[in-house]
Amino acid sequence: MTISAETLVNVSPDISSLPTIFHQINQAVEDPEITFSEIARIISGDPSLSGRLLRLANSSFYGFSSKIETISHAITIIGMGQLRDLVLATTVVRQFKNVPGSIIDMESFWKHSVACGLTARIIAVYKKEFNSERYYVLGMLHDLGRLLMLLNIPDVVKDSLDSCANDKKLLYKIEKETLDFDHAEVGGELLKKWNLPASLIEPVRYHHNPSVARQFQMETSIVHTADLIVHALELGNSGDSFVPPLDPKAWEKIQMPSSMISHIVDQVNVQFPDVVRTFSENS
Amino acid sequence: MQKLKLVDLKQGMVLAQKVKDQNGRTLLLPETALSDKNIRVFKAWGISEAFVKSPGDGPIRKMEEAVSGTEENKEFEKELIEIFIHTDPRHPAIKELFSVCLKNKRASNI
Repeated sequence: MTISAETLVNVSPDISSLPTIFHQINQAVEDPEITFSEIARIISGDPSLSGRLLRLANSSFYGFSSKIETISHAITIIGMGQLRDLVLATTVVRQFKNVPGSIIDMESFWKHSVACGLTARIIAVYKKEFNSERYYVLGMLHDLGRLLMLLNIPDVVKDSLDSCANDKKLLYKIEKETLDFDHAEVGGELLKKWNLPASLIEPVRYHHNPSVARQFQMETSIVHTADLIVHALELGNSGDSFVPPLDPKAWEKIQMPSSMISHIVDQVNVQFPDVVRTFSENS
Repeated sequence: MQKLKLVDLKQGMVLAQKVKDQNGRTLLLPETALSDKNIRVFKAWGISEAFVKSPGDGPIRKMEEAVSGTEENKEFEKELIEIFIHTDPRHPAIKELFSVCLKNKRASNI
């Protein structure tokens, strides 16, 4: 069987469906009849998830002045739609808990993802984009394809990493040369399989070539830029040792002055340690 | 000329524009070389940023040269150049990102 991005998703039954809790919350959020307290009850049924969400709500990610002690309080402040996105960002980490850390250090992988999510969200807030939480999710999801590759074709990933270090080439380009697809395509296929919306699939699928995105160019350009900033800051590592090239069209699309970069980095430096802590603490 | 935040202002930098407080009162005039005391006063008066002369003019250039000349900073710069090899250094965003990262590396090492 020829390996393709799609087959990698289909041979991973544990991964190819999202946890029930996400679907329950997704359905609940779409239901106009549902109340905050009913959604809070669903989330509270998963103590580890509610613990993480509360820690995130109380971190500098939001910077609320008073303490948020209950999930229903968190929903009223954060909003239901945003909460669904945060649930997705949080459950996805658990979904991949069995990926071995021998080839890529998993803690470092998630640090890179968190940092990319924070950076994308900060840019989105600056751009006054609606629902900035979805940008945090995009950062959490953007490199998931590589985890599927690690699970199914670890030797190929290892050889690609060696080649990246020895030949100083970009990892996603090595993947493409070797397999004819890269981690971004695998990630896109996975999100499609999870029935997530195109607004999430496209930015993940095209985060290394944002100009190809058709519908969600702003989202894709922001994730592309955030990924680049985080690589440059060396916050965590999802495999690649180099800062990926900037697509000038993506930069033009965002319409942000270069001087904003230092403000973004200042905010990332404040939020990053706090949000990483919400992942590392045991619930 | 560049706009710097209060935390980034250093002794010896030369003001490019007047610094005014929130009521519009002038605190310092252009061409003034900042002292530590001036920066403390800015803090007390709630000044969040100021325009200073860019590298290439007088004291600020000398100071940057002094800072960037250390062995440690050269090492940081070398490391960054290595990870930036696939980017276009002429792009203004990449230029800015490089300089911000260099500053970040120095700061996290203090």
